[in-house]
Amino acid sequence: MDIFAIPFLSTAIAVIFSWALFAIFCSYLLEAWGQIMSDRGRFLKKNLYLQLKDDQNGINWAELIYNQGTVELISQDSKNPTNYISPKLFAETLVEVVGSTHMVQSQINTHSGEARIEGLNSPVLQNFKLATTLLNSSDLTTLLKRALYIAELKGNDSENGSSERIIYQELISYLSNWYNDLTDQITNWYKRKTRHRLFYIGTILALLINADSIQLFSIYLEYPSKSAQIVHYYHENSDRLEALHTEENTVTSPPKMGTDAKTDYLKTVNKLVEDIQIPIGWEYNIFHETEERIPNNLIHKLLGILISGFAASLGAPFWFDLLKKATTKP
Amino acid sequence: MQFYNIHSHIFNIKNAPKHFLRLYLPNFLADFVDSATNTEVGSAVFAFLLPLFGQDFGKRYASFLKIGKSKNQDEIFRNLQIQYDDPKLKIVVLTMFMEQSGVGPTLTGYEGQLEGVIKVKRENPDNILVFLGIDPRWKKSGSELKETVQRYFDTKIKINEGRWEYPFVGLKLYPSMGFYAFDEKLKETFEWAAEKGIPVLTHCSYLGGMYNNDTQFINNNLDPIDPYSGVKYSQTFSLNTPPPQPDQSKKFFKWILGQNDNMRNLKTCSYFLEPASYRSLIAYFSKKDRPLKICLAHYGGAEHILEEQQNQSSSKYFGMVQQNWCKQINDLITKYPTQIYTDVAYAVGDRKTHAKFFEDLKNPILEKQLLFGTDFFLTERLTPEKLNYDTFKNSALHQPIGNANAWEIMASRNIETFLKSDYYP
Repeated sequence: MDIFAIPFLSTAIAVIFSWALFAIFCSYLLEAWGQIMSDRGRFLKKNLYLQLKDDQNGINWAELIYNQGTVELISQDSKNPTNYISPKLFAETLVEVVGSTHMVQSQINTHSGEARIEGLNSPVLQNFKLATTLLNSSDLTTLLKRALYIAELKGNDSENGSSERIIYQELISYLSNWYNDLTDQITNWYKRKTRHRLFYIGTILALLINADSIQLFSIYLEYPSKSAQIVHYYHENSDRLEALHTEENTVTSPPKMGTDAKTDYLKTVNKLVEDIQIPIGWEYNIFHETEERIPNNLIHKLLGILISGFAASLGAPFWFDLLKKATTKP
Repeated sequence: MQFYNIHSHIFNIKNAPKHFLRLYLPNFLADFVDSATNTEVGSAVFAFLLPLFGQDFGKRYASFLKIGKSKNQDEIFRNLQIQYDDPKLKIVVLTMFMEQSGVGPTLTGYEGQLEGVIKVKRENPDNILVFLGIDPRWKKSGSELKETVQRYFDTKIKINEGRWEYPFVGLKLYPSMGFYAFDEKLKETFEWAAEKGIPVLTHCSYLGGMYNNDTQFINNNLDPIDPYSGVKYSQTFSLNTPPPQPDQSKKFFKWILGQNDNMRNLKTCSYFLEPASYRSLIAYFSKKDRPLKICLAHYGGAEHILEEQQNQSSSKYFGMVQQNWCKQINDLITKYPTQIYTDVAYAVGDRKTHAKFFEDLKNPILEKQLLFGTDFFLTERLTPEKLNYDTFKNSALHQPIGNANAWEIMASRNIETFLKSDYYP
């Protein structure tokens, strides 16, 4: 049995597909805004500052990392910070800055003369290990101590190469992995923030172009030919449209969408709206309504707009995924 | 001849308390300005709009915000250096402990601010001299504070192969953050500083600058025991002197904008800054073989300098002594002629004050104690640094004093005497 032949299901699929197209459009706008405001880089920086603030030692390690030459050089400026610091660069910079701070160096020098740890020749490792013993206990220093402990265990067991080199590699590896976990978490926070923003953008846009979900549902239900046209369009273009949003959207890299794909998308959506003649567009918004055409039930209208905002907040991949599941024969 | 600017700041908004702008603006406006200027676009919009609405003041405020929002202290220092026509000028940079000011902690932490300024020192060893800001609340005890300060001073930083430098050459106090200079926890550090000849520069401007906005904290700490005299602060004046009273004034518009407490706290914090509060400490250290050198910065502030110049006095001062602060500083210098200094920072931006400075240089005692400083970048709200510097320098160069001129005396000779210590021989 063809599920598209069932009017209600056909209508539902048409609405969901409309939401997917609307969500893509909202994502475009948000992405453009994000690029202008260097949103990803600033979000990453802000969260690294929050996570690496070490109150017990009165210092923010993120500040030192961002001000260290190798990281500083990959940022355009403070208001346009880089949205990508490689895990290895992060780990190497952290190990270096922790040991070389004046706060640590001043304690090394007065720690019964000049403190030294036997068996370590590398100044970076020397300083780092001393730092982990001299700094006040905090979440961050616990992490650093644990990283060094694991690295030393592996280094001392190793049969390949000098143990000091292995200890350093293992230390960098441990901290890189931790940084990866942290950026995954920051990506989750970024996605949550993106959803909120998509809701606001979607609601405002829906208000401006009359993307009223309730009205759309009524139209598709009333005119099955229109919903059939939409469903047909989905069948024809589903692969192409889904491809627009298959890239993962993370805090360190934006989804890659070529200019051609964007232009193509905008053209086809415009044509679709014209072809099936649905009341979507600037000229249909409630600010253009004459007095007698003001919707009788304003609350209904606002509810429809809010639903569209909510649909945008879930993002296009969610709707395409749902469509795929709904239209794939078991 | 080596010239100096004894008073400048290069901390940025990340080194300042989280809600720093709330000290000067209503909360809603401060938070809006803070978040809006975090982006390139927001900053550009502010830089365009502020001069339109606020004319020159707006323009200056935009410049102040731009500097404060710089990437790091390096950037601010570079910005400062290019203002001067003398590439060899040594700039004294004052760090500040601002972690407990009642408007939130800083993002970088105080040690973070120090690491930032040390980086600037490492990159500009011949142009920057750093004063370490101290506060009794920084460390748990007086001995821990002294031990920390001492090792921060003693640990040289590597400039390049074969060159190491002491990072700090002086101490900085900012008592309006909620403490008196005579605080028990500072005493041990001052004893050590006096032995080493390390200068102390302390903020001393009437109702000027930052203040502690934690009403309960400041009101509860207005009359502590003065360890130098062994009695409560109020009793150092006379046994029957009532304790300092927190300001209780009310202004309708301030109240409407939610700024009434800020106004009260600013006035109450005057007690901590008042020159009279240094009397016992100065007297104590004057008896040492090497007396503690103290610069009561700002000369009391432009308003008091001009009042003193014109022999006027206000009807009421917030403080224990009903006397003009410029006059109080003058009296302390006269009483302790080699120990007490003052600088003209911030006030120098008001040209009308220059005549008073030049007049004071004719006094054989004051002549040796007056220092040149600008208070960059806090002055950016009023006048650009370059204009401040050029205007004063040009006037001072044309003021002969003995065999020298006012510029040589204030920007070189006196500052060198003030700075001379085991860490800046």
